[in-house]
Amino acid sequence: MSSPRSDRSTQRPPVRTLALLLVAGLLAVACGPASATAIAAQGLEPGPDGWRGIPLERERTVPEATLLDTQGDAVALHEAFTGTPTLLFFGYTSCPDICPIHLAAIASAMGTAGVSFDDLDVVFVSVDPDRDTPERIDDYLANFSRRIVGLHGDLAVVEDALAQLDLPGPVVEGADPRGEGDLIGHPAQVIGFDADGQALRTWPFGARRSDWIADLPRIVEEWS
Amino acid sequence: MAVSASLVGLALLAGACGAAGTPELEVNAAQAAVPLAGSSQIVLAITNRGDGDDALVAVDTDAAVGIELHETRIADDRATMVSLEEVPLPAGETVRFRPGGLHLMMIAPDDEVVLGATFELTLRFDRSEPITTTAEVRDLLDLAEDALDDPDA
Repeated sequence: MSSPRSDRSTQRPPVRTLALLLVAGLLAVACGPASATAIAAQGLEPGPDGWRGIPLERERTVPEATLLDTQGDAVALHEAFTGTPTLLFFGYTSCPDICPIHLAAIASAMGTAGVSFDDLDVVFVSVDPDRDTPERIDDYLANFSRRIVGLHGDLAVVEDALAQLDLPGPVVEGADPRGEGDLIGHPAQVIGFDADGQALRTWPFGARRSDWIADLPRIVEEWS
Repeated sequence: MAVSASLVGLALLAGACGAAGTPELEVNAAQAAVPLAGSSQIVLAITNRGDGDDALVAVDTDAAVGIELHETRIADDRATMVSLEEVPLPAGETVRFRPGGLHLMMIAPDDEVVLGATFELTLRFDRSEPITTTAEVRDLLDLAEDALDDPDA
């Protein structure tokens, strides 16, 4: 099986075509009464049980995969992230939009809600091993909290972990305008696991600081 | 051949409405996020109060290496980003640039792009004259939450 990276050159023209189609599509809707603005989610609606995170219907567990922390030590996810509840997010440091907003909201809400990183592991797994060096991951996460665990590893291992969670794998999206690599598709949601490693809820993009302030204490109280 | 023919058809259709009138653009106060990992995004709204369509084709600033027009799309749990050549500004509509949708991405902002600072942006359009506006630098999370909370932000 060829990796997405090895046939990058053959993928680019379709991506450009897609961009053209998108522009054409936006132009085509210009006459309609609907707004051309993309509306993002307006926060999460509390469920009947008060949780803002969305319950998972299918059983999933912390993936059996071994990655490296930023010190270079091996971390077996299914061993390291059981025993306390865990929030897991797959992203990359060059991500300008979804990733930093999720991480900033969680880190801010941890402080406000008085939830300690001793009682909840927050884990960031890079889907961009080519660019996300340990130093870069450390520098990036320090913007939110130095207690967030940053992990990286071979793309194949990360893809396997994503597959175990039934999440979409990283997809190279075309030439990065910064000229230092490619844009990457990644799961947009944060996944929450209880202390037994069972995935219970997800928080899609659009989860607010207030959503996390509501859910974080319950994660520690009910999932530990 | 068939594909390009239908694209041309779409383009003709799109050009058929609004192209004759005159766009009148209005830009609200811009906000930029404190840079992270060499990039930042700008929240901005452009309202076309005229009766002719226009398009945003470029944004310039002295405060960064460049500004790109991007759109984050979330589908089937996957977030991806596309780079756009231009963003249509249809007559009578407001187009908003903000997290999770269309956004203006600053590439390698300068050292002076720090919390509380301001800098100038010049927006360039297909038909209208360029518009220069001021952007204030804010905390990313504050900027994102305000922009998502307020549809008129």
